[in-house]
Amino acid sequence: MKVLVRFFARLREEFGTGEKVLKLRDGATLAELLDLVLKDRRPKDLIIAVNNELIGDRPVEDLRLEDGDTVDIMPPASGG
Amino acid sequence: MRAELVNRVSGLDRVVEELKKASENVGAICIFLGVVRGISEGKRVLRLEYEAHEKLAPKILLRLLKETKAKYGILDGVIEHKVGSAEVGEPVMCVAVASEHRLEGLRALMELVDRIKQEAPIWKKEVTEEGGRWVEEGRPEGPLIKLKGVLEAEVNVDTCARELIVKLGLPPEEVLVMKEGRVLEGHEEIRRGELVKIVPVGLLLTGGGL
Repeated sequence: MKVLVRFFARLREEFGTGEKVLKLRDGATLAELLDLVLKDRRPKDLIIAVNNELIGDRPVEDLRLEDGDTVDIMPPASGG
Repeated sequence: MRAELVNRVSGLDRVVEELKKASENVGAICIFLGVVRGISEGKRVLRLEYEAHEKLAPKILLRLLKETKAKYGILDGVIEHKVGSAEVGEPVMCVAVASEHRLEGLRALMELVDRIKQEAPIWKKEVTEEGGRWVEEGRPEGPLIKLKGVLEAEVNVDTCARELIVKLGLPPEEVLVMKEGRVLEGHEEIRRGELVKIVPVGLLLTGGGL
């Protein structure tokens, strides 16, 4: 299946792109995607949304992705 | 009730007029207006560049406003947050709440501004003469102290239980404030000169030291 991953602000600059499409096994979890994208630099305070909904405190290991999903990976808020 | 991303923050007159219409009971309008600071850590700031998650940010701002309304009983509120490039001195965030009285309005405003800065998916890049950097204050690593027993104290300001805990740098989910033998809700008032006990939640459950 294919999932669109989008990066924001600092992360967009670090990854050198605003978005990329990843091919994952069917039924892959959000945890697998994050491991693939962020590898060992996964700070716990990133903001993550799936299809424009924050995942909040839901464990990423339990969150199964579907073909066509959009995952947003965002740095900690710094507005104001 | 309005929360949105804007290219330019509205004039305060417009915001005040909007909030005055909320109810005949409006007796206070409290406003926070954030503006771009000219000097940051000794460096001259050229501009700030704001970026937001265009779909999520307005939804989260509105949720924060609704939660604040429910918690403090304010009558109405407005949040405008700028996106794009902002010059020094330019208003970039306007948070305004209308309430019957000043106390709940000021407290609501204080909490709302803090939560926007911590929770809304909005980011700023500070551009100085030395270049640009994304500002990420991040959440504190942890409180300066871990409370191991009951702290008895005389309070030196008019405040509320939650504000007192936050100002002391303690995690709100781990401690409670007691006054006259009763646990206070977060919004309950504490007057200057009153005696309180600040109690670790675990200790309250076991009854130790109380």
